[in-house]
Amino acid sequence: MRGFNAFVSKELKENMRNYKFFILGIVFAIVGLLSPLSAKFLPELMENLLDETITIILAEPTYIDSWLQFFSNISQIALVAFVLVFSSVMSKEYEQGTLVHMVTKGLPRLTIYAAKLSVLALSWTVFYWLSFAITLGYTAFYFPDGTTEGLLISAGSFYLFGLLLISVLMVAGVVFKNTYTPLLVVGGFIGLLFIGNIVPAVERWSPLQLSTRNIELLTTLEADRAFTQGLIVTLVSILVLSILGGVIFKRKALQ
Amino acid sequence: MAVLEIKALKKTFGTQQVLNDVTFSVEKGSVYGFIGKNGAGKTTTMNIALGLLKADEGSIMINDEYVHYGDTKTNQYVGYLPDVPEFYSFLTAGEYMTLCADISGLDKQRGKEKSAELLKMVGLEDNKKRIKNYSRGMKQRLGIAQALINDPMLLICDEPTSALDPIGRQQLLSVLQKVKEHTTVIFSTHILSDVEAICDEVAILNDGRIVKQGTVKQLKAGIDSENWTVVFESEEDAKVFYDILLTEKEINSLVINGATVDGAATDAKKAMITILKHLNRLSLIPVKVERKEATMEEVFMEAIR
Repeated sequence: MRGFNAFVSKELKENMRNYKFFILGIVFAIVGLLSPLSAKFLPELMENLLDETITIILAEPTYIDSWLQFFSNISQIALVAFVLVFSSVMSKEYEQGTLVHMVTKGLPRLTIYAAKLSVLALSWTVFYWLSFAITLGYTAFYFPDGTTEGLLISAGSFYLFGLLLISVLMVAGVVFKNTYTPLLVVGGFIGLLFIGNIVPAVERWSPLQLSTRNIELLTTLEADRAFTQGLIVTLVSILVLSILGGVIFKRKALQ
Repeated sequence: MAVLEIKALKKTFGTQQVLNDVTFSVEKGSVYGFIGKNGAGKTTTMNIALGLLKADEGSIMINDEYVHYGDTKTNQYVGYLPDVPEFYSFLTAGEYMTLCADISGLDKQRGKEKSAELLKMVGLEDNKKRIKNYSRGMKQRLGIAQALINDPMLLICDEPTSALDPIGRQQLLSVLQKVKEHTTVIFSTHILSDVEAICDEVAILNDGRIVKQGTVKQLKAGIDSENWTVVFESEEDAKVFYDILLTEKEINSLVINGATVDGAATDAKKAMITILKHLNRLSLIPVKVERKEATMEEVFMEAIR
């Protein structure tokens, strides 16, 4: 356990000193801040910007619009930034040969893998819920009539989808020794999920539901059978991918 | 008692056989030189011993425990110093040593003391700079400090001096001299003067095979030296002798330096007969005629011939 703690501490120090946490903190905070703001002021802004001859009837924004903006921004900006920032999580160690000293000190490879995965998951947890908390606060401020019912399952499902992408990124990082291929693998994985959604039978089991049905969950307040299936597939995939990454890393050449 | 025991080790990369039946053992308390030209298979052997590479055949035991690829268990007995050690450049030397101490399982207080002691030994105790600002020599010194943090039973040094300038090399060798008092060392290199400076026993690796092994003294005694020297009382005698030897075909090189004539010959015995014949014929009485002890360079060249 001391080895795990020491390596986690090293990872945290590295991410702080390399400004990764700083960058992600800013991105996630901006997303959290901008989502309710844009929901509140976008209609007014459009009204002012558009020509007077054009008439657009815009509904009064609600808390739902705020969360709509949040899930849109968190998936298109924050999660992408997160994957980009951590795409070199393994490749840098491979390229520089820095893990050799750790392994030759007797630190088990699985401990290294577990520590890296934990730091990524922890970072995602902190930044995601930080962004969520900011949006929650501002949404309550701008849209006091809104409700928080169904919010936890809605936000929680996207959080799990993020964890799934992290486990994909880690496996790809272990297998491929460069920075770009893991990015392509994550992109390809999302692409495959979208392609799979064309087939209804696949769609009903797809983890993609966790990132696309958030607002639906917020309004209907209940998860249907297909969503539950997608949730199960996601949880099982996270577990399988995490174990798979560890097993591969145990046999992987470090230089 | 053997700290490291390598038996019938074989390794192939593609179609190239890098190690072919490599067998040797390193006894406790010795400094074992592992010599070979570049690409001979030294680093491959070291990496297999560290569990970083998988052997095709054969076995390695450290402290009577088998080394398995991907497993780090036997590394608890080992310290490792590569040719170009790479560290986490965002850390300071002190922070890196603390990380190594924690990983090695040292308790906080012991880790702190040991880190300070080792950093002092390598002359980095007052350095607060991050490692990214270190010179290669400083990195190498930090390399040896981190390798010793766990008081290893066996210190594996893979060409540790090859990337250093002469001063850095000298500093590192003097640290290794201190280390050898309480740690067994295996030292791979192609710099033969380093071997002569610190090694007790030597194995010469050529094309993946051990072609010679023994103590430095045994290996040197095993070959005829090509070099000899003749010292005269006067420079005139030396000049006369030198001029005569210039006409001899079996003498490969000849240097006169005052009253001393140094030379080398492929067949040293034959050359010595020629030298004595000329001394007798010219009635020259030298102060000293000496066949020099073989150098490690000669031992090495003979072994890989």
